[in-house]
Amino acid sequence: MEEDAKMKFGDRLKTAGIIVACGLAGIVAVVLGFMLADAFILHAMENSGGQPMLYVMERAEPGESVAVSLTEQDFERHPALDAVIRGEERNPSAWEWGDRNQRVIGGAKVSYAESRALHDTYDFLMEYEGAYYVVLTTWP
Amino acid sequence: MESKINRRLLVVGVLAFIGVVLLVTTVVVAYTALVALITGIDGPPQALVVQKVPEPLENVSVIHLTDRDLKQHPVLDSAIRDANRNPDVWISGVAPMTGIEYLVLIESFGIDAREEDRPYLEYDGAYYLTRVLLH
Repeated sequence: MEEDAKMKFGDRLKTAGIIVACGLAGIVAVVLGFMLADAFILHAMENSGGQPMLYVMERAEPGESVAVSLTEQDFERHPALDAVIRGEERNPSAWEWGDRNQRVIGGAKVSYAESRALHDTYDFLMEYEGAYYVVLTTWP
Repeated sequence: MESKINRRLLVVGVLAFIGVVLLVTTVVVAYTALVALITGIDGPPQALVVQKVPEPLENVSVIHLTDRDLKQHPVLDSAIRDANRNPDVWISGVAPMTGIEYLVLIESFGIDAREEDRPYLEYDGAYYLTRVLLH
């Protein structure tokens, strides 16, 4: 009887182990699936010839938002941002401020990786030398 | 008994492996399809139209485009090139644009202003009037 119970327990343990292992494998599989799909989509987009653009919009006033000051490190890490805000791509639009209190101060071509990095990193109002800026990327 | 259990384990293992492969494939296909659908299979819903026009009379806003403007706004560049594809005829050029590009062109060149307020664009001696196409 005891031996029977031991065997049954051993069996149950193995079954439980397999179920847990399958569950984990399933989770890993789904995560892997998303990562693969992401890489595939990126590859397809890059080969479709589209060119992501970075634009920086200047806002006349910060409004309710809290602005984070840009540092030299930001400009070093993101040369496209540097070029648009204070470099050769600074090109404030001739169109007046209008009633929207904002204007485009410039744009630059960026890689897909850089576009995503900028989009993910700078999702807040930025401040530099007294002016307020937001980052716009055409992708994602 | 041992071999029976082992064989069962093997079968379960193989089935689990096949299941995992199918799961990964399904996720990849479903996610890719969803993204393709969201980002628009037939392109973005708005387009910029640029119409070549004669030099406007006084009292009108004109923005003189530079090469850098066109470099920074590929949609505008594309639309102007399209409008110039036939040098003998004054036609309009079209270029599709994403939501962000639409916003940027609004703030840069007032493309969504009312007809009487909309600025003319000048490049290389030719004048253009912009319009937005939504579909």
